[in-house]
Amino acid sequence: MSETAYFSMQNLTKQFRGTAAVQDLWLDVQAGERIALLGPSGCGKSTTLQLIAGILRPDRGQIWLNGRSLNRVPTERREIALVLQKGLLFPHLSVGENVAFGLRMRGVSRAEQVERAIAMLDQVQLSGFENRKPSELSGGQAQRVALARSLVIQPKVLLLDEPLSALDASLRGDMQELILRLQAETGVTLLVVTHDQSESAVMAHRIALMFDGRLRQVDTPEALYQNPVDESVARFFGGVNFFAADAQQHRLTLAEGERLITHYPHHGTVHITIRPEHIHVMADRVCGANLLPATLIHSRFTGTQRHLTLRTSAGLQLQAWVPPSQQFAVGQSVFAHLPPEALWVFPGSATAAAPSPMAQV
Amino acid sequence: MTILLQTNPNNQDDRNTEEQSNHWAIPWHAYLLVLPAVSLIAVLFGGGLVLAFLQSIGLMGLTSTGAVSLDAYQQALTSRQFWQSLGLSLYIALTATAISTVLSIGLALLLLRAGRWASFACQLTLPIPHLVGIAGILLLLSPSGVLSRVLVHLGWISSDQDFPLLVNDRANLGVMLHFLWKEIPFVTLILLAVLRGIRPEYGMQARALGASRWKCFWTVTLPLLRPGIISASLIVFGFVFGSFEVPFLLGSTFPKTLPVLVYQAFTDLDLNQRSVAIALGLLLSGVSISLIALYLWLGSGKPFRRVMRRAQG
Repeated sequence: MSETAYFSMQNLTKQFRGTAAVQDLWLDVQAGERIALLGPSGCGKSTTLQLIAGILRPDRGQIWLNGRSLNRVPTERREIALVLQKGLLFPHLSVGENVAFGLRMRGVSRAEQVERAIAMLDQVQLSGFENRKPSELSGGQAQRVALARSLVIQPKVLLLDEPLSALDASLRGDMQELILRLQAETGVTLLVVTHDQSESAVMAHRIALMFDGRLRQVDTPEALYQNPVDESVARFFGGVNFFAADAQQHRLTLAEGERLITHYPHHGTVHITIRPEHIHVMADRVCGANLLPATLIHSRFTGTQRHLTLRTSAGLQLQAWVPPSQQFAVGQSVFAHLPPEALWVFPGSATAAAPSPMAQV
Repeated sequence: MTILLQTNPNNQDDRNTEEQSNHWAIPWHAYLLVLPAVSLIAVLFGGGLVLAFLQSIGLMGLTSTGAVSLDAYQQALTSRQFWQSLGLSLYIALTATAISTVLSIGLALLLLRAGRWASFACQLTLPIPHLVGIAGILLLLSPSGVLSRVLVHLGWISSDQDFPLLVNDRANLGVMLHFLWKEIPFVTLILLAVLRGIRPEYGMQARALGASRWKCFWTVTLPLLRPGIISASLIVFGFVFGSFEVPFLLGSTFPKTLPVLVYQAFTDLDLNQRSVAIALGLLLSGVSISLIALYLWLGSGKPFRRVMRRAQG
């Protein structure tokens, strides 16, 4: 595996007091690729980052970069840069000295340090900030300086630990753009840790989804969104409609008695899901498969969408997100269309489809 | 509380009238509140200094002639003893401060990952009075002390005559040991508190940027520790430099430290020596304050930055 991958983790395991924080993690990353390590807090993603940076030592497993094992390489010689949550600029150094820190550690001449630090600050749109103290910067500026400080040493891999979580929503978009632009310009391999699935989708070519120290699915954002491997992955990506069903090839019979058709053939007991935004809701009956008569029992306007809760005549409860232009009255009879290509099937013994916490929102 | 509320920038009533002024300026009646504390210090400390100064220039005191005279200062500054004592006091204070600071930095770094017991252990020596510590040192290290007797008993030395002089010795080892015993836990306690406040992520960040452990200590940990180091070592220096009972009981018989010299002059049978004692005391304070000011200036990093800039320019 490591022969083709630029950067790879093999069987990586780290335990704390007998509990596995990271368990048998395998991940191959191509040069210049952007990977998001996504998961709820406490899932082991920050531990993984620290293992890669060499701050923690793995109990088992190997880390390879460019054909070289990193296991015995100390942090400072790994050529892997790290940007932590709040930027964490050294408070006793000026902005310029912060950016030049890595160059100073490498014994670069003072003139070159100054020149490269100033050029790098220019790239993060902070020209003229070199003599300021970190305490004089806003959160977004500090984060940009931290990014400059990590990129100026031209690392082979850049690790970002929740780089946007401390920023205002308005700054987050700008920062995302900046990170993506700098990544494109430098071609650095990027590994970003986040708990925010929309952020991971914007930032990464591929998302590595992690639960309880284990990687559950590594895929493109689109695939994770539409073809999750199991219910927990689907729930993490905002899935709210989960039903138990019996499958006969493309035909599904739900526990409630509804009959549906899917594009994904299966046999036996399965669980099915459909994303709320894929359900079409209409007032009048049209022709076609998977059309369920239902009653609107709840409607909530969110600004960009209307979140509808529907109950079919057989008692099946559905969450549907429709454009705000579609208006329905509570209690109104409607028809819900579940497109067969959006009806995703999980094989086998997934746990009973309890209502997800999001369904109650 | 009312004062705080009035300075609150969100207070709508004040907003328009105080728009131009600094909202966080201290209102005049806040000064009234600190007046009792300030006047107490002014009377007891400042007043004492003024009285001492008046006595030292011959305007007050038992032998006062009513005319300004700098005789006491002249006598103090021209005596060989003064300069020897000043040298000894500086030697003891600087050495004890330097050793306790350096050892405490190492100890604090070692104890950083230890539990709360480390801070507790450091507090053990704090409530013990210096006199008890001095008695302990005497019992332990004097020629007839416990250590000497144990060594004789073990046959390592043939009699207590062979035991090296560790108290009232010329090198002031006993004084030094006492101060280290007392001050290392104190400085360690302060540095531990400061170290615990430094986020470990700074170290991670420095390492990831290419700093070895050693460079990380010099370029990140130590500068972040600097405020704690400066204040702790200043307290130690100020205390040791002016300490009387420790060198009086454990120190060399000649030369004496400045505070011991002051005491000796003050209790001299010749009453004229009293103004000399006071002049010596004021000189001691003056030296102490100037050294602390110099240290703070050096510690602020300003002179170094100036030198750096000159080197760059």
